[in-house]
Amino acid sequence: MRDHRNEDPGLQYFGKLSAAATHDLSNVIAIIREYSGLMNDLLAPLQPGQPVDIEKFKNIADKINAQTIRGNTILKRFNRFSHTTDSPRKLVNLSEILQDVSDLHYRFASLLSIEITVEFTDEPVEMETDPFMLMLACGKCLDICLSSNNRNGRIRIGCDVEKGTIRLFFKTDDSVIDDDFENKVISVREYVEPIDGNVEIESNDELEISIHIPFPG
Amino acid sequence: MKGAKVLLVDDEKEFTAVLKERLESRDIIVDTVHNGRDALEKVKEKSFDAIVVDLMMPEIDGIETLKLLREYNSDLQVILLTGHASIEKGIEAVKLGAMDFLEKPAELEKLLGQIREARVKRAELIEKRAEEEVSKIMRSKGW
Repeated sequence: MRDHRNEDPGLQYFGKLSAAATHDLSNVIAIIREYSGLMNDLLAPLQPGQPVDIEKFKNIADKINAQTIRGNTILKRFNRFSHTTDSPRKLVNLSEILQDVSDLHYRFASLLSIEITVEFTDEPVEMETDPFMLMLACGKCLDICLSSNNRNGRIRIGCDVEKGTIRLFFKTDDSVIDDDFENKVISVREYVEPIDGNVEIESNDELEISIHIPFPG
Repeated sequence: MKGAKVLLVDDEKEFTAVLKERLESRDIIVDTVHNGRDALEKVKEKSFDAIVVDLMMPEIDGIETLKLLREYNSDLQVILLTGHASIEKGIEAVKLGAMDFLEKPAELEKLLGQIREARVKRAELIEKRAEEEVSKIMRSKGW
């Protein structure tokens, strides 16, 4: 049987983000489980009618609530990403797409102690495109920035509109270009073509990758 | 288990905080760090019966942390916490010298059992090293 994984970057990307999201969810569940265990620990020595430490229990309840909110956010984000495969053409809000890409890559960034900042446009920018291919292209650009960041801990991503073109940018200061850089750039170009875009790269000390997409609006 | 010394290594600070509280309520002495490099620094400062290491961590992952710790002292008893899909990594960790691995979220009773086992193994190793040292001294003296 043929192994399609190496020839399908979309599938690879989907798998990578699924693994990261489920890992985060597993941490949320582990924390909730420990809080539940802690409550049982606190109750175990008490006899019926003995008072409980209300403040302590309230504090634990608040922490469990915070974890459920965290878990729900991870689920919603991942659910939105899963639905990008529903249709090859859909109206998308670019700031939302960039925020989702940033959030979905949070785990990879935090593993490298890098912070991703999304710079929003004043007005929402919406366009009709293939949402999955757009996320794949953005994800690949972010991956290049993550692997090129010289541990200064910061990547900025955002979008702007200029003369009928949308520009999505991915910037990292203090970059280090590795041997595989050219191959990575070629792969980004492959992902950007199906959404009628092109890629521009500026690299010296600072690496800036821009995706330009014609904007009829 | 009273007085067992445990080091928790996990980048999920809240997880280590609540687990520490639960272990301490069972009279276990717990230290926490949030990356592999700090774990190595901590074992240079203090001795531990068991070191519980999460597989997925920033910069240096659980496997690399295990290698660093075992390189520093091969007697250290390391228990690895892995995700559902990381059983292969757990097996790899055991091959690299980890005492065992547990799937996260782990049941506290299972973790306590592993800590107990680690403490026994460490005590045996300390005894063995002491015997080896005595034999070495006796041989050097020609006794």
